[in-house]
Amino acid sequence: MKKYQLGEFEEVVMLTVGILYENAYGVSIKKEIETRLNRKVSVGALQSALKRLEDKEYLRSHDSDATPERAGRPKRFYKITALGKKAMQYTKETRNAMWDSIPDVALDVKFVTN
Amino acid sequence: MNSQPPKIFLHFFRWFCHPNLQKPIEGDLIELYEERVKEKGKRNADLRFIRDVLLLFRSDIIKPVDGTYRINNYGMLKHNIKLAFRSFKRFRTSFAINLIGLSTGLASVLLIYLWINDELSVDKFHENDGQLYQVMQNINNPDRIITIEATQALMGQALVDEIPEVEMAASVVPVGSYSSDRIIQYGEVKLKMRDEYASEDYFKLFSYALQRGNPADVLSSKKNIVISADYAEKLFGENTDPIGETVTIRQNNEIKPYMISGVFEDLPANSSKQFDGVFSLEVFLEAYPHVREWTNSDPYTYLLLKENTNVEDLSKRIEKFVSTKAEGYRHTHFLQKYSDRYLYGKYENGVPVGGRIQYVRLFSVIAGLVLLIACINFMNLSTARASRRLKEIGVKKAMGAKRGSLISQHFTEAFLMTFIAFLIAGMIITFILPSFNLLTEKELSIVPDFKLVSAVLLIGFVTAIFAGSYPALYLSGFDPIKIFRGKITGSAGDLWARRGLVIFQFSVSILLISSVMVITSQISFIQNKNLGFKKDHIIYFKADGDLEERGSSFIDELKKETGVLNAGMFGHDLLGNSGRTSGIRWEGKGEDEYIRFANLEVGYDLIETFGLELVEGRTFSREFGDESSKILFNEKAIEMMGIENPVGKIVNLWGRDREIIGIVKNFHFESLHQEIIPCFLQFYEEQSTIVVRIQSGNELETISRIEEMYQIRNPGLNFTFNFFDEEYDRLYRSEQQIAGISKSFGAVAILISCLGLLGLVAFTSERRQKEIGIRKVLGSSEYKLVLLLSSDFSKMVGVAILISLPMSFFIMKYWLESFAYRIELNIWFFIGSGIFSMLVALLTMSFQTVKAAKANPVEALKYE
Repeated sequence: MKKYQLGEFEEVVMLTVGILYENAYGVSIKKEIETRLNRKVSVGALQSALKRLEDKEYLRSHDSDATPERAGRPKRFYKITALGKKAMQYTKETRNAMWDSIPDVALDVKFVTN
Repeated sequence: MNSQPPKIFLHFFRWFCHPNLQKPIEGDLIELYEERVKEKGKRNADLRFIRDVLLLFRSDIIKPVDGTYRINNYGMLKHNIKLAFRSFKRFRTSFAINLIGLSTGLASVLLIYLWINDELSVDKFHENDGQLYQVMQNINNPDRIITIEATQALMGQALVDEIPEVEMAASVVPVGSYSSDRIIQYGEVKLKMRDEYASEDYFKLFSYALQRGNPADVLSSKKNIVISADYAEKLFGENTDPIGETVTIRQNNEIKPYMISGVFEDLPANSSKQFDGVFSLEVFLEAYPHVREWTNSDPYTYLLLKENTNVEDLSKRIEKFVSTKAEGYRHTHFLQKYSDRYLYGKYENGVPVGGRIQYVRLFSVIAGLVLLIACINFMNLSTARASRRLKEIGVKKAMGAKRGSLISQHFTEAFLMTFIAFLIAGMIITFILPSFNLLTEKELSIVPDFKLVSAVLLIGFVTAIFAGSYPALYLSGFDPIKIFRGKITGSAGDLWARRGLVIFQFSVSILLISSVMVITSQISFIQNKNLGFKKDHIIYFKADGDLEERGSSFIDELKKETGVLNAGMFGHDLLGNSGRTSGIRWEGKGEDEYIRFANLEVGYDLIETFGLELVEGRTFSREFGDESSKILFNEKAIEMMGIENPVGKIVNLWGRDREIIGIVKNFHFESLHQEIIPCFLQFYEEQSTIVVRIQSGNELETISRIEEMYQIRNPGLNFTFNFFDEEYDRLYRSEQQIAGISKSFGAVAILISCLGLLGLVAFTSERRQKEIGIRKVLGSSEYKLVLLLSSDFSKMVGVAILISLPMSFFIMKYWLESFAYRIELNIWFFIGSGIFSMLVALLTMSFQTVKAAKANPVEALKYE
């Protein structure tokens, strides 16, 4: 039984929300992931991840006031909750612990070139 | 930023999205969209927007169907949808065929719906639409009755005064009559203007909304002019109030000041009247005082009738109204609803006999047929593969499923299919609409208003019910015991039904194809027909501004240009715009003899510029001094008048003697819908139109030089000209549109029919796998197997050809009758389209039949 459930993409989203801090909303998150990780993110995938994370209470959101440049639609800004922070730390720590447990020999791989 | 993301998808998104998430996500989408428009252009942004919306269609984002969870039906519905998707997956070919067929069918229907909706909306925007009538006049000539719009100038007011049912009237001289363009000037800005002259109540009668000014009094003075918002902006700049400003108008060689008394909003595209400025009718009556007489007709008369007026009765009562004013006036009047005139604008014997409405009807039928063909595919394929789903039905029935639930299962499938097809149709339309607009010269767009949404729902519902009903009722009716005993193999009746449907599909397709062939060849016949003059490399433009008085000196200059072969002035245009008169007397004219002549007014060299051929005599020329007492006739006129050795004889035109100096060979000066009528050419030195024949090769250079010369004479004015051949082709615009539209729909119809055929052949060859295997083992050749598999369907296509060809023959004969000059209906049009469809059908079938015939018999037989 996992204590904190956080998928790979969800983790990326959480981290990005953290990076962007005050300015984390749909488009900015999408762009940040795309530039940092050099992978395409569809609006659909991102929004459903955000929704799941909010349902798990790792993120909370508030809407900005409507601005004219988005045809009057508000921006929804996301913030990491305390629970979210714990989940991220937990993931990180477990990963680190696992890294540390790998014997050095296992990673002593040489690249073979022909 | 005025680019908008594709509306249907935006609305689709709003519809499915969870209300909590909708606004911020929509904001994100719009932000991304606008960014992409800037970076990569609208098309790319549209595509990506559509992709994003479709990718958002996922369980986290879709709004929950709360409330229905607890109702038992929900589970059943879910089950049905699941089964539908499974069956789509399992029968991929027929799914694809159905989807392509239905979505193209739906897209055609929706396009036609948009077009028809637009046609029907023309002139319907007037608030008084229901009570707005136009007075039409029947010219009762002894040979035939001609219906015209021109009426007496005093008629409107007299009707208001004398007939209680008439509440208000407007007399209007429409754009274009009384020739050359007006030029409106304010400061340095000069513009050409399309203008009307209208009586005082014009803006009260029609709902051309006034931005500024009061509808009741904008036309109260002769000094007033009302202009469009567009012109107000061009003349005075944005957001200024031009009321009370004085502009100068140049008309009839005079420059006069007028005061802007009102500004009307730009006219909507679905207004059949388009004008830029309106003067008071008094200005017109002052310039042409004879129009006030009861025997002269010029302005159009529009009436606002009181509610609950018996229009038919009133129309009869005003029939002879003018004869009470002018003794012995023999022409009569009748009323027609103003907004009806656009669609019912053709008259025979003084009664409306249709017009564009025929095209509206024709296209509705075509769209319906295309959709029907697609529905038939769905029916055929679902019943054909019924045998593969029999076990499923048997098991369900054994478990206690009622017939009703089986029916609803199959309807679910049909509805789901229609829904998916609609999404694809939406995409197709988004991409096709611009070219469709180009073809039909309209500005159609998808505006999801109540009307469109309900139309879409209705079309979808009808399609799904129609396509789904036969398979649903058929499949659910089996006896489960027979199913398990394997007794059901498809009865003869079903086979016949299926055959009948295929025959129907192909009949319709062949009908469309052969019609397209006839229409196309008639149009090319018209475009290449020898008209009696050379229509290529001729440009013409209005002699306006300074040229109004000094056009001939301009022509002399033009002729010196290299590249200009000839030039002349003309009062008409050889495109159907010519005067008519019966006011000619000649020696030997019988008492009752009545001939209406077309009146073409020409200047020097015009006959040469157009390349009209002379049979006898000479043309107008400077060498002979005053030519205004001379006249030329065409052969037809001479023949009808019965004058022998005409050159040198004297005829009397409008009370003045004219000497016949020449005969021109018959030439077409109107659309080929009409026969050549007798005509004469008379001479006036200054005319309204300048016609120039230019050398081919460097037209553009020559034209730009002509433009420079024009600009010297008329500084600040736009030079607008037309190529004669292009304008000539425009006469057949509606035929070309019909040809274009029927071509595309013919193609769609045959495509869908062939897809259906492909599906059916695939199915039968699969069912006959074993038979084919055995035949092959016994030594049958592949060729014979292909023949065996195709013969059944080829017979059906053959029957379809037999049914449809006579039908298309009669339809096309009827259509061709509207042309005075037409091609002969050649039997090869029909044989050709029959052979064509047969070949297409055989080719389609060969994809499957060859594959089936080539298959290794071991594959089919090893399980036995």
